[in-house]
Amino acid sequence: MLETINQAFYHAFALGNILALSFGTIMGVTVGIIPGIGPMVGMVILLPFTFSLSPSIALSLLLGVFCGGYFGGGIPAVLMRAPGTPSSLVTSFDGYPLTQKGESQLALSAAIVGSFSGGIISVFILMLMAPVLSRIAASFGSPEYTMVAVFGLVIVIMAYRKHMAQGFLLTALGLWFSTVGIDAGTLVPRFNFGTVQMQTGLNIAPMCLGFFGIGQSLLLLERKILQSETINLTRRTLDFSKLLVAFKYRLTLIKSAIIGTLTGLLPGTGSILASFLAYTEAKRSSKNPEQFGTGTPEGCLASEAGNNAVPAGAMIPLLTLGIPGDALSAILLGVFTANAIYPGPLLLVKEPVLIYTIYFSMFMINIIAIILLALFLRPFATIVKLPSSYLAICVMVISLLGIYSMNLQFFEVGVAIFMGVIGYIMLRLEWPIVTWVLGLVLGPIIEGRMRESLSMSSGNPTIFITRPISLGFLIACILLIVIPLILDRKKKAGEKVSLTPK
Amino acid sequence: MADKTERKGPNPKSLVHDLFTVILGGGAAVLLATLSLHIDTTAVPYPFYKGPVLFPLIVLSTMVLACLPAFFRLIKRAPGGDWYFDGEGLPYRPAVILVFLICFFIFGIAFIGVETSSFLFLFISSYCLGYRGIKVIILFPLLYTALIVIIFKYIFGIWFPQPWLLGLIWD
Repeated sequence: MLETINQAFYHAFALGNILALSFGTIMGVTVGIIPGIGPMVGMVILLPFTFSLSPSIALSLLLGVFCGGYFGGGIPAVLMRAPGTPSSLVTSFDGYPLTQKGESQLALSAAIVGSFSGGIISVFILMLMAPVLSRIAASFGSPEYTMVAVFGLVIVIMAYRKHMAQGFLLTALGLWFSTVGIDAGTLVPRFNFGTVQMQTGLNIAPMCLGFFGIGQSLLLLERKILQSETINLTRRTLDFSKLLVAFKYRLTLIKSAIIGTLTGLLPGTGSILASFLAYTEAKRSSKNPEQFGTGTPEGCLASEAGNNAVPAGAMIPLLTLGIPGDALSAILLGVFTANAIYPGPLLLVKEPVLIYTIYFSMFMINIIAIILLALFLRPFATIVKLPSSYLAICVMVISLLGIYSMNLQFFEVGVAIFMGVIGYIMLRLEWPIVTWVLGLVLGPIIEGRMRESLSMSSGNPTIFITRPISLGFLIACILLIVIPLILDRKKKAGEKVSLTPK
Repeated sequence: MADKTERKGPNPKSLVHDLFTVILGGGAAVLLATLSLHIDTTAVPYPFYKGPVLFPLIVLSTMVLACLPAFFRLIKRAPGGDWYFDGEGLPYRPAVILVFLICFFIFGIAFIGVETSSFLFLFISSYCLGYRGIKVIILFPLLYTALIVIIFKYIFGIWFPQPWLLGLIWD
């Protein structure tokens, strides 16, 4: 154990890893600050470059963007009431009123301390929970894995039940994309439409980069998300005396981080819910609940601690079950599998050094992010002044050259552009595109495990209902679909009754 | 201080949602109907449950099933449903930039080289987006092009095709 920790420590503090962490964090904070870009675009831009890196460095780079993005999102929320990431919207409830009162330094200190504490506490929870969950998951066979993956998909689809049909459609579309190319089980080519390039399947990087990077950039061309000429910040750095004020709310910090981690653990719930729940709980248990919404540092702190705890929470099902809970962790799963590392209960046994390196890296990302923002607050905040449409065309150039550089194929550039068009349409329709990427990443896992399960039972599908854990997940899937539908129907019926004149 | 453009978001009852759902579902139905053309099952000795068809069959059927409610809504012209979507009009800007992307990054690199393609794309796109300052439309694209050429060509050592046009001139 000590030997493992020692090795992981060595890997985490190696120069290459530190550079990757720092670059990833800077990129994450930057894309987090720019409303409309966000950590997803940052991660997909870097994705092509990660395939030539070692797994630990590649993961550190992407984790830097993942966690750094949540740090950055709070800054425009506080200064301009324009959240950089959707989850930072809750931070603006109290952050912006504080800025209006001339207390922007206090609001930013609270937001940054909240992000930092949320990040650190959640990594501790990840370290404690991952071994427990992986011990439970070790008893799972193929039928259980199939159902866990299906459960993960259903929970995400139902999280967006306003567009349930589209959720199912996009999930299935993602699953279908994963079937393109030679079938791993039978070596039969599928859906290659007579092209040589599609024989080996569609690479995840151009598809994700196109869908999220190009799609989001095309959307930015026509939407002026933010226009701001001035930034209300008196100092270049953070006012360190205000940092101590933020640490007054220790209990709120711990509670918010726990809420954020547990919310992140559930697939599809997302960081918006995490920050909202943390904020609501902080308000409920506060001595001065009436100050919430009018400008209290406690509100900024709770919201940011909640949303910054989500990445570590999302890593728990990813590392222990191999099931990503959101689009960002699905990208991380892609990096794992590209390096022939398959997350699951055995990962902690097979790759303990990598796992501990990830833990150390996550700690360091939080430390690097707080130092960066404390020392270079104004330069980072100034990023929001960049025109979004200009930024979009720059993102497109680097994305497409990144895609070409992966395999030197213009075909993949074409795939990225094609997926960009689909991504743009889906983003404009506001469909739950996260379900597409989950389908894409989970497709091979579900198909492989389902095939193994059916082989175990000689083709008898009742294997999924004769094993208790598998049956449990199946029932949970059905309940997840049926209960909200019944509740929605009852709510609608209630609304109709109340509208009917007596 | 901050002038955030207010957006109401798309109309959730718009028939545009249904139209795109049916397009995707229709595509899946076509693939389902022509499955034997896309997956060769004749040379496979495996039973059906181990074969390459089962999973795509489930997935494509799910897509078709998911689009059925939208399909019926489109046919019946459900009450309350209209074609109003988000009031933001047709995507002219993205369409124009998309044409430039295809021209410069699929064909352009082979014809005029990565440097010229990147610069021209940034220059023409920024001009089309309404930027007029020399700094923005010429100086910054030049610097950005230089930066990405240094990163991709010299730091990562990525091979880009010899520009066809350049070869023609030199010959």
